Amino acid sequence: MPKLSADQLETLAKRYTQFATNINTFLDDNDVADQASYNRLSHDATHAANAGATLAVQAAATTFDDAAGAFVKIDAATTQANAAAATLKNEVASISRGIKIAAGMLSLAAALATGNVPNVLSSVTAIHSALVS
Amino acid sequence: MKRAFVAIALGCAVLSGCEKPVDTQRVQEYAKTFAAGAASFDKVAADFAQSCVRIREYSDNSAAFLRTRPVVEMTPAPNGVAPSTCALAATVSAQWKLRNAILEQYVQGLAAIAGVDTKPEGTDALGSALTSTSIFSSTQATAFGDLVSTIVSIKMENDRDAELRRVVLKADPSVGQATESLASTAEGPYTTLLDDEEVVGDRFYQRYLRNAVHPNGDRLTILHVRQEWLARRNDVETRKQKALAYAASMRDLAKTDAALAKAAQSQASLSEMIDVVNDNVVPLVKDVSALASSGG
Repeated sequence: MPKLSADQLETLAKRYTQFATNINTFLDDNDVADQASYNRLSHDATHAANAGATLAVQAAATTFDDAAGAFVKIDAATTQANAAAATLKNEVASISRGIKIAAGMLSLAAALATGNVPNVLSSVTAIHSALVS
Repeated sequence: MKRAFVAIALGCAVLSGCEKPVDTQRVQEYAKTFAAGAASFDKVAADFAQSCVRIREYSDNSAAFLRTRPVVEMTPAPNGVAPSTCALAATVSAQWKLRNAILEQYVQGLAAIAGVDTKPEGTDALGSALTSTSIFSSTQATAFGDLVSTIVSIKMENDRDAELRRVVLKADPSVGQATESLASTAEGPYTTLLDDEEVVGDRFYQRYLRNAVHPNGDRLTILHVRQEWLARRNDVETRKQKALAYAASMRDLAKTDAALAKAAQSQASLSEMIDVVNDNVVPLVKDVSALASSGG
């Protein structure tokens, strides 16, 4: 017997459930005095609802099987997104470090040219900080 | 030469000042909204298996309700849902929860790219250093620092836009297929399961009332059982509403992602892609709020 698709299982589940709901509504709306008749109808409603539930669970499981590949692809895209974000952050940090080193070297050159000793020391410290950051 | 350079630098600085800032916070907000809904999403996923168990217990007269009620001999019900069916429902619930997490992590991944700060540090120090050389005036040096900052930012923003486009296109159309599978499971099989739970619950309470209170009806017992029965029915109705709100949230995500993919294909900038998120974040907030606030 061929395997039923998720849509077919869901359609069958809904039919059983609708049948069960109809009997349930009938029993709610009508006073069935005969206990045997009442029991039989109540039994049928429960039986149909159980069949509907069984088919609904199978429909969900089949839907989940069918969609598994899509989630694998999304997972891969997420891995790529996180890696890209980390790379971009590192790239900005590297450029910032380069700018700080360049600024420090310019300050150092200016300080050396003018013989400004405190600025020489602070420039060397700035270059060192940029290098080790 | 020096004058021309300063003019270019000032021009760039002015241009960068006029450039519309990209409101990446909206993407963060979108990701936060989706994350805020995660607990409610997982409750929907978990209830799929729990509903199956309740159906089985109502059907075979082993509902928890009976543990606190006078024991009566109940009319036997037909064979209930097989334990293997509820075991399969438990597997579906576990997978469902994992899949909610995969979608949430994807949205967080987009937010991580959009949230990268592209402005380099150190351009102020560069301006000061240039001033200290006495070659440039303070204004010229500041303009040069801004020029460097703008050039780097533009380069990094282009890289960021390209990465975002790549990720969105890689996930397309999988996000649409994935969200549709979850939305249709919530609207279809899960809602059907809840309809079945309502029927077998009704039958269970009716069986109990018929056996417990007939023919010498105890009014207090009738009242209590009817109250609990009504509360159970209301609870099932609330869970049906939650299933629909969940499906709507999933479709909001699908809609946003489809629009993002369309924008990515047309080489839209990050700013334009964020406009897409802006258009969709409001319905998502509404649907997630409905899901979180509908009781239960």
